[in-house]
Amino acid sequence: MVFLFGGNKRSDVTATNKEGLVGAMTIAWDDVYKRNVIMWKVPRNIRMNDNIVVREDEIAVFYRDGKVLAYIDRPDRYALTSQNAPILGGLIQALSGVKQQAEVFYIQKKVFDGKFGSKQPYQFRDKEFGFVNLRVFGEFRYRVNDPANFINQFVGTLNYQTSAEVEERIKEQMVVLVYDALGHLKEKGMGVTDLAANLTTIEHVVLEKSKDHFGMYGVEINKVSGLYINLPEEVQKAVDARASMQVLGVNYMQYQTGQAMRDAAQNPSGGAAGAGVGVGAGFGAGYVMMGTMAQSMQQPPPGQATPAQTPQPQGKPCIKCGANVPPGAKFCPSCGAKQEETLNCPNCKAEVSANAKFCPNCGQPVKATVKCPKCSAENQPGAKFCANCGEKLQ
Amino acid sequence: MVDIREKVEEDRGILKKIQLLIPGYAGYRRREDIRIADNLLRIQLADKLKQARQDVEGCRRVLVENYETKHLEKIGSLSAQFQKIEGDLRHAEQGYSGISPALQIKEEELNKLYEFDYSMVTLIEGIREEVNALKTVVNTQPEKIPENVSKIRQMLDNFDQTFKRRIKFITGTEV
Repeated sequence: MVFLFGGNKRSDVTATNKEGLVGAMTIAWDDVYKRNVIMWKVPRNIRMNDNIVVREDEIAVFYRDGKVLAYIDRPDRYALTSQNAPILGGLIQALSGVKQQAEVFYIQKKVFDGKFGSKQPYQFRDKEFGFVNLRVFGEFRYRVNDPANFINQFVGTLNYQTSAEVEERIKEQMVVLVYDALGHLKEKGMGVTDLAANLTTIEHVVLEKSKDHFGMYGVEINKVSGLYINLPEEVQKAVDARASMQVLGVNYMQYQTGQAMRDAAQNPSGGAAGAGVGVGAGFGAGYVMMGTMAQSMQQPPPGQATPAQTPQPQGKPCIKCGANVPPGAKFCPSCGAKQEETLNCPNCKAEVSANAKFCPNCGQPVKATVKCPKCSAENQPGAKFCANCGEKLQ
Repeated sequence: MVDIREKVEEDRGILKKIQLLIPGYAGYRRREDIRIADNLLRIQLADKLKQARQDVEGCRRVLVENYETKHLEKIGSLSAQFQKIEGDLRHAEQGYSGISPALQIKEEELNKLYEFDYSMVTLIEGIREEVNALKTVVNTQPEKIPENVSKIRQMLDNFDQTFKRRIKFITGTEV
């Protein structure tokens, strides 16, 4: 903070110094001290004819005896009045011991930038993916648009002066507003896969809702930008896979095959992988030949009756090599791969791993949510109590 | 309503009466007294708005008790708007011009300011009537809440716009 007297810069320490015949001085808020500071109180009791300089990006608030006399937001130099004059002020103080309190607060009108981010995830219940934990991050721009409310809410009540202190109050509320916007848009049918395409819409919803939330504090949010909604990794993968499938016009199996081939090609031990493919092919050819030979060996000589074949028990295909695995077997007799428990997708009935969260065939969630017997709200699988009403579920 | 300016004049104490006799100080005393009267008037107006806001919050309480959550947010936003305008009214500037100002605010302008603020009573009464209608609707026809809230918000916006003009109006600088 700098005081300018006849062009000489002085610090706060000189604020009590008298200048000129009547002890008045010219006061200005120097740009050097404005960085990250929203409000500055002039550290001196205003005297008769003290001049304050109000610049384009400032509002000055003049208090006398605790009352707001003026919000000065027109750039100019203003000569203020108070009873703190050389003769009159001294006389009043000498007779009554009373000294008039006259204060000036400066407020910056310029726009400040702040950031927000969610500390706790927001549980978004998506039609396709079920419960999805979302985290939001973004930036906002704000400014003081109502000095009356700002100075009485932030300064008078909390004595906030820096932008960091004000932002601390704002950013928590911003997260709440984003969550609120997501909730409303979800009711309108928006799913997690639509979030990326609707970030601008969400920003506008938040902007509009912020008026009521921050207006009473004299603060206006005039831009929300860089909004980023973080999806869980597995959901993001599913969304990316689905987007790729749509672009390529293939089904899941074709897509996975293509991915496997691409991964094999990108494998640093590419030669070995190629050799592996060759080995697999060789083994496959060997099996085919062995099967053919076995069939030919089992062919009865002409004219001999064929004995009745005992039917082989029908098992499941191995999850790794596709060979027939007898029912109940835990390992594939062909390749030795451990066989996982499976269940049927409730949507397309395809057989999927018991550990899968989404069906690899249709992309729908595999495990159905648990319905609350009391309020009928749907809860995550394994939930013990209803998230909506608290009723015990198990 | 009484004219608070007269009451403030009548109740001047001995010190203030002495101040009126001091040359150069009498004007200051008279202007301060009009500002005090205007301040007292605005505090009353703000209190009327506060009562209306408390009625709105009473509507919110009724909705919560009935688990009618559909319109809670609208009522909450309305309450926030009331708080903002209440703050503007309570902490409004009192009319001041320093030494050799570009625009003078003397006794005449301060009296105009008092009269301007006094005229806001009519608008506040209209808002309070509409809030009473909202109270009825909340209990009998909750589906009409958005319509009523919208009407009150419009009235508050008008109040806000009018009130912001006060200094331009008294200084005769409104275009």
